Amino acid sequence: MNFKKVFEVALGIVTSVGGFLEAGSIATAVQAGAIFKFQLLWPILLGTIVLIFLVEMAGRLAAVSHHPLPSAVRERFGFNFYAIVLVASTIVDLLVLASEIGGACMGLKMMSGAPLAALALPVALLAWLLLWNGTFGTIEYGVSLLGLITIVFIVAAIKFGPQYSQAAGGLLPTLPTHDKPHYWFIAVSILGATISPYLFNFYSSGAVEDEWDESDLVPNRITAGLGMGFGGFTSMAVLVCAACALYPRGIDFTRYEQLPLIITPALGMWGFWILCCALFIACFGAALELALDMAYVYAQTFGWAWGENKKPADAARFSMVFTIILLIAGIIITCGVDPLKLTLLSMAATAVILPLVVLPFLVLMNDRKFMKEHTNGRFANFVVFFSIVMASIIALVAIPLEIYGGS
Amino acid sequence: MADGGDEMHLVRDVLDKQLVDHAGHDPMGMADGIVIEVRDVNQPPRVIAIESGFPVLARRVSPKLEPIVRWLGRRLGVRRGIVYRIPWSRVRSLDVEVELDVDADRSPAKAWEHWLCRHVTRYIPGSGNFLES
Amino acid sequence: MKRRRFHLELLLGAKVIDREGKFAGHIEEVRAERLDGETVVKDYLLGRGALAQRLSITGLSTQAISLLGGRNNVVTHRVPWDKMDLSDPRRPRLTCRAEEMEAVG
Repeated sequence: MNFKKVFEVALGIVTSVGGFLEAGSIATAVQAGAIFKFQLLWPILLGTIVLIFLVEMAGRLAAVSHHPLPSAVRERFGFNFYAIVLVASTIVDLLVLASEIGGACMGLKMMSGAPLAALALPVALLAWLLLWNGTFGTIEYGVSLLGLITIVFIVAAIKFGPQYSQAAGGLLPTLPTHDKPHYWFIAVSILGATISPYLFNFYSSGAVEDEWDESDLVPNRITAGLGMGFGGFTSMAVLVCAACALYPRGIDFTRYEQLPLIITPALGMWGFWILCCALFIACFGAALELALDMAYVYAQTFGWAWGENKKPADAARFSMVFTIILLIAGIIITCGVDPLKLTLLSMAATAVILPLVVLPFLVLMNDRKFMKEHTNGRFANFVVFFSIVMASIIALVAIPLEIYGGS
Repeated sequence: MADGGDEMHLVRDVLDKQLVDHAGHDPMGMADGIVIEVRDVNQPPRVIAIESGFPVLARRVSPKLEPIVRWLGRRLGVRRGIVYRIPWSRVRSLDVEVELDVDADRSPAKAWEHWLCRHVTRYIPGSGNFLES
Repeated sequence: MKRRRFHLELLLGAKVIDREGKFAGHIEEVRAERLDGETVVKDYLLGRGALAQRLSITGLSTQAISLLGGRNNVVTHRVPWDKMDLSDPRRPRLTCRAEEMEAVG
């Protein structure tokens, strides 16, 4: 590898780490830590491992077949099947996007005291301005580099001085002793938050846009492994903070306003300000990626011109998709939906539809017509297949229990 | 396309693939449908065209959906609900994409793109619109 | 016979019966070739799967199982163009018996 490649890989890792946390991973990890201490670290670990596989696969698909994921799935399975995927992921992505806008607004609200309803549309507008005027590089690298501020969670977790041996015990799945339905609901929400379909969709589109070829396969593997791997650490750190700060005091995480409590005991008042910034940046960055991802998905499904490096006039329908989507998400939050409840629900919903998105992807990755000699290994197939199917089944059981179970 | 008796799988190699124009590899929609003509009993059916457009997709999902989409297209669509049909003779090559011997900018495939440029994006700064200013 | 047109995408997954009304398979693929400057249909490939093919998922379910190392080939039989009666494209019929179809793959 030459210097340029090394630099690209390093940049890729840094942006993955900076872009890892978002409303869903923060909210689910804090809930888990507050109620179950370290016991739910394992879904973060499992989710991160599956995500590493999926991101690597998305990059490999783009490098070998020069197809982004949506058009490859449509081509392989036909439009009728893809229409189902499209409808399901549009609904879920819209909910997730609204959650991210909500999370970003909460970050601003805690700093300024302004009401959520007044912040939602301006935040959506800001996101839209960046997408309309920015290039892929400014969005991917700029926002993700700022996202490195989320390392504050790792700093705080270390300062808390948790019992590391006990925390390590949480990396292996164990059965809950209390709040059983809630335990599984949070577990699948964590999986849904970690294995975000928009992440690998987005990644494959970026790889096609950057014209990857087979020489990018090794850098792709390193970027996916280290980037998502370290990213998983930031998520675990959030859980550890919550386990140290909220669990002993018996505080249940029900409102975003409680979020600073997981950091201020370790870092004091400046921790509060950093946390608010981190929440805003993490959610805002995810909102940008999600809006862009939905534009990619629609353009690639219907064969329109697409690309964040194109001027909006050269990809007018593509640009219209992110415009409309951001507007709808902004309106949802303006209407007064509780961002935290929306986040938790949309993460569990993501877990439900995962098989719909991931199983066709797995079939593609084993198809020699697309992948030539770079098809998946059996281990990757095994891990991804079983994790996804399990997560979906548990989610289908846990969501009704959570909604009707009297919480 | 070269006449070499080369065999092609119409579903695998054509249907649901990206259509691009010849000059700039400009995206022109997807191969949503393929039209075949049955002739004499002694002659094999002939592939005559590729179709692209929402009514074609709607028909695939459900025959009941097609008239609704066509009606919407007539009322609201820039293309007036008409399906874009590309004669098979315009197909130049089949690879990752289906390359057509057509100029994308003059074809109905980009009607929406041009309509949006004229009516929407030109009024928004930073869109890089050729009609801007 | 009059010239008629039909849509290939609607033929996909259609149930094919043979001369005697027996189920022969679902249409999975249509192969074409260049002949005298025209592109003409050469043959139809049939598969025996039911629901998965009807939804044109082309065997997603069978493949999900065979993912862990199995091969995936849903096509079972080949029908030359002149053995397929498409006078009603919604109800394709073989002009021969199902047993006479050539097995593939």
